[in-house]
Amino acid sequence: MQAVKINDLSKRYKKSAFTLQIDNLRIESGSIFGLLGPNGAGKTSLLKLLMDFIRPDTGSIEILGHNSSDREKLQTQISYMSENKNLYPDMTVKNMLDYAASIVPAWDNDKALELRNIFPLDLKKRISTLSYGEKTQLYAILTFARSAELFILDEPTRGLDPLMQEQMLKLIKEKSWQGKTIIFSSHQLGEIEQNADSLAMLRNGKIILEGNLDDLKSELFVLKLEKSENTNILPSFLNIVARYYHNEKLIVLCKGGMEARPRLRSDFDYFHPENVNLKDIFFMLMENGGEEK
Amino acid sequence: MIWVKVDFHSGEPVYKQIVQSLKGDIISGKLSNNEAIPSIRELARDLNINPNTVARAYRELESEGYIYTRPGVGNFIKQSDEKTMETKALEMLGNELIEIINTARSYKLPRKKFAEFVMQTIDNVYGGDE
Repeated sequence: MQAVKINDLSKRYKKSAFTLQIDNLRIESGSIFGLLGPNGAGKTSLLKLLMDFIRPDTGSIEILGHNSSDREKLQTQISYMSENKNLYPDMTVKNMLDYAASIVPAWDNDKALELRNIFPLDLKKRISTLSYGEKTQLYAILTFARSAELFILDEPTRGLDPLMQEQMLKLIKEKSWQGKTIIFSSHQLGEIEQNADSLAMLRNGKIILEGNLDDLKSELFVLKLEKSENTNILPSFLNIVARYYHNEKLIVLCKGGMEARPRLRSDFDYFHPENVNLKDIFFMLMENGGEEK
Repeated sequence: MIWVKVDFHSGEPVYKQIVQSLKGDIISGKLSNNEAIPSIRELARDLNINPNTVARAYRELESEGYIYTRPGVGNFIKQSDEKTMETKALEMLGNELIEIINTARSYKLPRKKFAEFVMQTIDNVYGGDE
């Protein structure tokens, strides 16, 4: 079952001349899906479209088998954490939690108590006096103390110290251990690499890479060549995704590692294919204007 | 208890790291026949990693005959007969060995010299053992 199905989606922002365009995106149920990209790439827009806060110009979004605009059916099934951790400034922490318990669909009070132990906030403090980190912790309780199927989180660890970041990521993994689907955006590669099983990289409103992270690591590899070497002799069977000049070297990112690497080993043993991690992939596709998919 | 050292930032797919580590433990006998191993969820929690990654590792181990599942009961180690285990052990060593041989080749070491060296080193390490 797919938690999210996007087809031919486009959303144009006239003021900023920015267009988000996604032809095809599938997110599997039960996965932890990371949305990566620089600021302004369209991550928040995409999440807002999933939440039906904004409507697309063209295309369709299906969530958990329903149209994304079917809020009645989806309300109890999706939990959302916004980028701005906005809460009612005059309420105390306790007020907020009690209020949430009364209006949030499928509120899980036991879970809320558990989370209050992990994030020990002073119940009497007014929200306006909380630090950004504390607001995020409160928001985490509101987001995770629910029995939702899908969690959509916009930069959940931003502004948190390392210990709290770990706690947040632990909560995400716990939901995954329970079989829930989590989509979270981040511009921290390490975080995505350690927690997500699938991801999409956004740049200027387009997806330039997506898929299962382990698959991407198997399929993609780099060849490093001296600039002075005759680079026209790259074997024709190589599926080149991007080229990058760094110091005196030409670095070539290739796809199709499963077939190409054994072939290189047997017939072209002066080429030494190397593994790539997420950072390598990200910089090659982002920095130097790699070819977009 | 199963422990796998996972490196998220190497280019090696994480599920493969788990598979290789468990294969090694099984072939070396560290995990014995029919021994129960943690459920996908439990192992994901122990290692603090994504459960889908563990699930994929278990699927591969099962399809290659290293573990089996009893629905509703759990996951267990499958030790094959000696001959099969030997084949599996050689399979595991295969890639690393090719790397080393390629390095020797790139050093322009003559075949005979290298083979002699290998035998000598085996004698040193194995000592009197079979």
